[in-house]
Amino acid sequence: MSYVALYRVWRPQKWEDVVNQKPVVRILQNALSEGKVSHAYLFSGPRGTGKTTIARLLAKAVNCENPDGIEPCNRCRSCTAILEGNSVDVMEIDAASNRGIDEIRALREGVRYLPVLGKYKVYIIDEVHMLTQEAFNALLKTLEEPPEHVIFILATTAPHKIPVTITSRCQRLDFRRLSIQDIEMHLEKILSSQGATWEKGALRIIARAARGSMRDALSILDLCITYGDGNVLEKDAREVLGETPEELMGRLFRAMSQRDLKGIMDITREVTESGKDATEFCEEISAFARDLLFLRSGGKGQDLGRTIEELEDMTVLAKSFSPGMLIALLEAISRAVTRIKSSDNPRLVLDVALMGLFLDSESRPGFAGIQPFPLVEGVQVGESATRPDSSRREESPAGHDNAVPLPKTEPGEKKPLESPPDTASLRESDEDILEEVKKAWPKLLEELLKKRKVQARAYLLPASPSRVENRTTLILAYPKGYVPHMEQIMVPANRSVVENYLAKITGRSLKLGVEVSQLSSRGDGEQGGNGDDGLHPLVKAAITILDGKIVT
Amino acid sequence: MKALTLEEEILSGKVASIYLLYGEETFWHRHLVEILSKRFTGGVETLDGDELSWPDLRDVVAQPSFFGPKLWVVRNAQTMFSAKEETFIQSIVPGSCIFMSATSKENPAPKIFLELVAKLEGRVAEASSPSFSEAMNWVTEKLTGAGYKVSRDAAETLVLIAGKSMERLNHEVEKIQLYVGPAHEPGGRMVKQITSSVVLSCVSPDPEMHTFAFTDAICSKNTARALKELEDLKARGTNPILIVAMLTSSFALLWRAKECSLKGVPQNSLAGVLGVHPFSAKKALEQSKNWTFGELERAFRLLLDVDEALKKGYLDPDLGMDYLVMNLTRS
Repeated sequence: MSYVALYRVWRPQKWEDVVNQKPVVRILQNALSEGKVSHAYLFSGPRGTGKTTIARLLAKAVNCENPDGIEPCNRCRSCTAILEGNSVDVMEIDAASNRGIDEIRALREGVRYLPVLGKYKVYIIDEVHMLTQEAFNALLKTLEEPPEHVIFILATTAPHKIPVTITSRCQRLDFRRLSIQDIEMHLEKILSSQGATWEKGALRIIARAARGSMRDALSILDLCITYGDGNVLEKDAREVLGETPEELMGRLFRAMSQRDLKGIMDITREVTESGKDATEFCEEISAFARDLLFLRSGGKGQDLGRTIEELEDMTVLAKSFSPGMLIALLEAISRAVTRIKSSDNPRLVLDVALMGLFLDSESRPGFAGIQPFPLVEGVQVGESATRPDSSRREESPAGHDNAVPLPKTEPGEKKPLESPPDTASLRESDEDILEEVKKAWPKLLEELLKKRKVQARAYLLPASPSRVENRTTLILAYPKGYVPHMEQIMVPANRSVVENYLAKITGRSLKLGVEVSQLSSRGDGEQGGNGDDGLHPLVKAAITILDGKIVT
Repeated sequence: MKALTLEEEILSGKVASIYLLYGEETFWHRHLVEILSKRFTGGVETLDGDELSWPDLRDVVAQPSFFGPKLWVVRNAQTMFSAKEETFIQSIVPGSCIFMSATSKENPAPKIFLELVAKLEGRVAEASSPSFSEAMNWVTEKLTGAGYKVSRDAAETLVLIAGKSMERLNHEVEKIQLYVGPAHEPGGRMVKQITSSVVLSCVSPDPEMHTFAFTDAICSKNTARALKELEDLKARGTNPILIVAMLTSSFALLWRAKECSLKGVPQNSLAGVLGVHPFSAKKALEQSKNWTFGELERAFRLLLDVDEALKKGYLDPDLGMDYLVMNLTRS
């Protein structure tokens, strides 16, 4: 006999076999036991969550000759016919390939005839959103006044594509994605029944890759069993899925946290030489960054579907990335994915994207006018609230055709901010505070040295108080080339030290923010000597990595 | 007269000889026929206004039914009113009834017909969408009538996420009853309680509201929950541009709620000022405390940028959504 795929062998045949989907199962079970089965259902949800399976189960339950309460017997003529897929009372229609009005007319013809074996004729219309408008109209007539002996079950992954006139006539049941834990448990059950050996990590990787779809999980498991000759190993699962080894991803993120540019380039080379698709790699990087942020935000590690070792590693890594860094990384990767599609050299695009994170903010192009590296904690977009839009627009690299024409603010016109006072008094007050902070600055540095807060002081040394925003935020200006200092001072541990000492000295509670100084600086002079202004970011990256110079 | 009032009148036993129901809320057209049909021993006959002329209708309703008083339902009655006619219907067999159902938004009947209905002591009613509070009351009455206890929160949540369409609300109420099971345990006296968590477990959100949980997580600055909800939206194939639009309207509400709070608008009149239901107003006010005006402004700018980047294809939709969540929920 030919091989039958696991997802077909393990398709639930009883209500109790259904994995999760508790609300749906409960509603249908109660409808069966109370005799309140609706004439039309709309099953909606992501693929592989059990829509067709439950539709068949319902068809069996309503037509079973010897039901055990609400459970179908799976032995009677009606049940076996449905199981074998040759029941004349249960019609499965794939709307993706039978989407025209003629097919629906034929269906309407058939609806008039009474069922042969059971009590109901059940029409299961899969991917119903693929029907044409005319076909929907034809179906509507039948749904409006269906014969007593007919049940329609419409299944779809895109309920929003179905006309309201149809959905309003159906009892809609939403299928949810299965959790990683549910899938893992089910895979374990299947493997133990088959006497196979497995590694827990492998099942977690499969469950994560399935993205809530049991059918996908079982298909991957099938592949892994065949690949591992009956054993399901973590290494094999990764190979089957074409996933980048976790160790490599960890190395990449560690290199990024340590600003090891050479390390980053080594990894991208390693990955591209292994034949890995650059877009897929980008997606994996972004998923990793996303998971790090999830962990940082107090999310439960078990929801991520990572192995215990991975989670331990990621928890440590998460601490070395500020949300701002992760956002900047995601933005860079997102831009890279779009560019890779039209590039002959995906590795170059990837390198530029990752290197770009470590260049100063002005030389980095941001998509659609967003300054990508949010250097001020609590500020999502690179723009401060009080700075006029025009200055922000100027910061975008010239000639960037994807810059967005943002709403213009007329000079002097301010949008309502936190405190309602007029702008003149607000500016006055901010300036007063700035003066006060400037006066206290040497004392602050002295105090930090005295109290041995050497690290925070070191990151503060190149900075000078630039301006005060809304009387609450002190913006420090750093010369070009001091991005690492800017980021380190914004690390909560360092930032709170400075904020606390500043509060002690000035008696004011100010939050810290940073920006790149618009004035010439130490770094500027040197760069000016090299004549690298206006250089391509990749050239700048190369100069940084290789400690190079421009020779004319 | 509203359909809801007409329903109460019919349920109280008052049946007129002619009805005209107009409006787009199809639930009422079906439901009123259902409850009326129980009062006619001669059965129900359905006619299609698209294929029926006034003389034909006059003939039909003038003949006595062999089995007793009969209900004549004329669907698509709006088509019949577009024909030139002056006589309409002058008499109906005693005990029988005509129910003219027109699914047009406006009343399609001419003045002369309405005068005729008045002369025959008939009823003209409008089947329009209910207001939020009408919908809430309807849901509550339907569930309490079936023997359940319903919390105010549950009724509010149901209308908020399922929308005000009577057809949908009716389906969702049926679903809730099936989910909870019979109102009374066999042999027990305990009445089952329907809470908002029950509603959230089984009610299918209105297509426009299925981003509700996601926008709620973003407005509460809950990154972990927002990322989880986003995964769900991605799995449903929700269009990222729709997500951006829903977020923008949520932020607009937060901004307005914050402004009202600064201006000292009393909480009990906030809903009126904002033009939303008190539940939404209360929620917006609470969530607006998590945001400064500066942060809200930056959020708008970010949404504007992401929206354009998505539309111009500069941004990968999946990654763009992750980027958006991370940026917006970052505190």
